[in-house]
Amino acid sequence: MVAEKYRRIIDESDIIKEYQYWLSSESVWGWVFLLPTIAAIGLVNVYPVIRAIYLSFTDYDGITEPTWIGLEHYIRIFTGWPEFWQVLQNTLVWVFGTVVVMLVLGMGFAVLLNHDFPGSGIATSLLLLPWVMPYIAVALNWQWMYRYQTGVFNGLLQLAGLERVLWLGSGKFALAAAMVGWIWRNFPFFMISFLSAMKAIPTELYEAALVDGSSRWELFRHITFPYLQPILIVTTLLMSLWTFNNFTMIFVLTGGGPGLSSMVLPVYVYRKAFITGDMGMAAAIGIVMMLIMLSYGLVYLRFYRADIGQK
Amino acid sequence: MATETDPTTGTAPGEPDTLFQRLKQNDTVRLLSFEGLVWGLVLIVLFPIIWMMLSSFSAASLSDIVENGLGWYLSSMSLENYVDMVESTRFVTWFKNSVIVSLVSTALSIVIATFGGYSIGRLRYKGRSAFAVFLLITQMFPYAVIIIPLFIIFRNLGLFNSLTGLIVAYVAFTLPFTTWMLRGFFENLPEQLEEAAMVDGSTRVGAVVRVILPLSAPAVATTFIFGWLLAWNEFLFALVLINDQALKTLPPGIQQWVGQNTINWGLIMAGATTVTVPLLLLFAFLQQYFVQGLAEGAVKS
Repeated sequence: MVAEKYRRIIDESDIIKEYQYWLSSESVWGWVFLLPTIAAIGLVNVYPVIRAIYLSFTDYDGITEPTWIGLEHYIRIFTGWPEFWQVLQNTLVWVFGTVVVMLVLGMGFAVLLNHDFPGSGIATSLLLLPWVMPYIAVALNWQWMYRYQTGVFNGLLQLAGLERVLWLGSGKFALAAAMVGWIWRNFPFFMISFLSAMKAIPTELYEAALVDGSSRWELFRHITFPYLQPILIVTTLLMSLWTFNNFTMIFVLTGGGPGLSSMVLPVYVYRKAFITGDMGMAAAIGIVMMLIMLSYGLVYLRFYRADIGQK
Repeated sequence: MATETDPTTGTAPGEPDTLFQRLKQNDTVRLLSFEGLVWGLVLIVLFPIIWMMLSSFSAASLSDIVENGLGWYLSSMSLENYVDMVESTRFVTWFKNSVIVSLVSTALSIVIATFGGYSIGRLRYKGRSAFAVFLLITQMFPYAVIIIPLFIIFRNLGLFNSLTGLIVAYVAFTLPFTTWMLRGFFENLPEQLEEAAMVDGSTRVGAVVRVILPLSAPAVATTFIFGWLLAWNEFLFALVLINDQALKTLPPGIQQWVGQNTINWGLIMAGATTVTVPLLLLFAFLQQYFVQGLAEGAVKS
């Protein structure tokens, strides 16, 4: 009787539970299975970021030892350094400009493809093709099409009796030209996401609304759009992060030029680190960039979790 | 057209009687004009890809074509750029490097992600969901930040300027994505699958390899395609971590052609086309995996 009472006390004590928990095969295997992931992510993601935070407080050229200079880089960034602010402004235009247009285009194409017509499947597949292309091919191809003398866009302008335009060589058009190429490459992502979501909307909803005499616009406004909202939020945030982080398109198409007119943060950080050799400053700008992405990403995670919570 | 519509106007007084109004009412015509709009848009969207491919055979400008005629344009087409690319550039070497690096890194990434994804998706322990969220957060570290210290670390480890180094970088680069995607698939498998296998005397690892993996073969295939795409497209790491011409991969390799004194756009378009074609083929054969993977993995993660 007494022994049993003690056994129950021991069984229920936290220390024993903890001990049993750690020996249970699930927790042990759980972490054992994560070891390779932790090693790889640690070496190539986490340690470099910690190292970059350290480097952002130093003066470092990549060859000699870094010298500690405290907040100097950050003070320079945040106390009116016009160059940085221009690049940041370009980046925001680049991200939000392209994402908004992609959203509208993706939605428009999804609405068109949601009709049942012969060949709608083939049309969908063909419209997805830009999204399958590698960035390097997209950037090179658009550079070729934007050429002043031999580019096909200026060729079309001339056919229409208009003047040639200096697309990539002028500060006025370079960023916009790059944005058009980026929009072309990525709008199918929105298109296919919206189309899949639209196909999942029960048709009875539309039929009921049609009986009530709703117009097409009302159908879209009150049925389609609310159904698309969760996927719209997630795809928008994802695409914003991808666009913000993309290096290839701008680097290959314009190199950020002419001057700084189409310079965005990833290319700027690369140039500062590997062309100018100012790795400390590059790291500091990169950390600022990371903070922007993280705060944006946290918003995304909140929506993601809200989305999961609904299911 | 007129003979067909005559009788209807005759029998239906009060109906709109201009040809245009009658056309608008005709469902077939409306459908045709709708389809015309869609196919017109398809053609506009596809034009850059078509132009890239045409330019790889003949880099004539539009004004040249208009001036000299379509016959001249067609006769100016040849495989010369492709022959040039294979014979007088390092394209074949770069292509080989790209294939090796992307396939090996994706395969390794899938192996590691199978266990990682299984752990996060099916095992119950403290810290599991925190680690899953942490994986998502690593996706918000900009590559431009990572690459600066990574360059220094790899230089110190002797991994700079080596394909092994690039593979290591790509494994980690694709890992959050592959892990997260496989986790989603594993989670949806019926419960206690592996317990049944383990009762039969299998170990935990054996259960994963012999029970979970075969059941998720389509998921692994989808994940492989997307992981491979990430690695095949990657530019920045390859640009910084590889210096030797013989070790370059395709994206930074071809990009150098733009900087040369005499730019041969036909050659560049041949290169761009060759990088694109494997993806188009993959897409043609595995389209449902692309779309399904996008819906189930990419969008959710």
